[in-house]
Amino acid sequence: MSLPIDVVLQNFGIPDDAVSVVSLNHPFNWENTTDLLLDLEEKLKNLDLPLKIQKKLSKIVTEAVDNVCRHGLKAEDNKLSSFTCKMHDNVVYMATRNLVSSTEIKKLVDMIEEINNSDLEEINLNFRAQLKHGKMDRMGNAGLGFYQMARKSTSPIRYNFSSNDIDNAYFTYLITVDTKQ
Amino acid sequence: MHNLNIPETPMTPKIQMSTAGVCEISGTSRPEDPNEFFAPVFEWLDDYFISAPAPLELNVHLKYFNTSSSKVLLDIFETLEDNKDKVDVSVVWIYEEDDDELLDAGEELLELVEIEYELREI
Repeated sequence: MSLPIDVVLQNFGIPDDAVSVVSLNHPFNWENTTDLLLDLEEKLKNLDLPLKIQKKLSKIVTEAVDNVCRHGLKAEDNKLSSFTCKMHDNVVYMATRNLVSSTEIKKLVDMIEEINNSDLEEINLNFRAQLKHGKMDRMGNAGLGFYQMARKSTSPIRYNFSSNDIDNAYFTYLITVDTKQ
Repeated sequence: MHNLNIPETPMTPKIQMSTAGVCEISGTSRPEDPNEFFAPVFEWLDDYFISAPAPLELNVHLKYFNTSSSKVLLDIFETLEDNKDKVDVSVVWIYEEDDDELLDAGEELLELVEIEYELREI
């Protein structure tokens, strides 16, 4: 049984008094995620963050919600899918939860561990190599999203898997940006 | 051959490809199916380079684009690169003052191809 998202976020170390910037719960589609991104754009302007930081955060959130739209299992099964963006002091926390097939877990773990064990230069090199030589699949996935999020973040990606049933698990990951870095 | 005009939507960019050689991609690029959305651009370019009537300048002014769009943009730039022996091709990457993210993204893409380009601040 999957943990409630608030417990997952607490386990990731997001302060209880972090203020919500934007959030979205199941169901995810291209239209409501576009509305979320437009809402985020307005909220970030009102926070008076430098344009560079606003753009960086928007890039991360774009990739995060694109992942749910493209890679979530059938929408009717993905009932606990969610995205939340919170801020505390100068740190922005972006957490995404999505239902994935258990057969995908190892691939996701290997990819995130490789990213977390790389420095920024290595992540950029891998991003550019995938951009130049990778192929887009039929779902419109170019294999670049996690590299993009990682190189825009200021901390390693934190993640966990919570079994939903024998075939699927909820994959939750956290991207953090310290806006003063 | 005709011009190609695709209006902007909240998720997809405006696209204008002119037989006079001045082309534009602008707005936000986050199409649900990037292969399907950009297919007319590649078809138009294939037709254009058959006769190559005039030098081609592609002006790119995107506020936001996802990584799938990055891949397609690179594919477009590579198509220009593949045809630069037939006619002069160039890209103008437009970004707003203080938008270092957009500037960096443009530089990153354009450094992966060998075509004339200009990074233009507005």
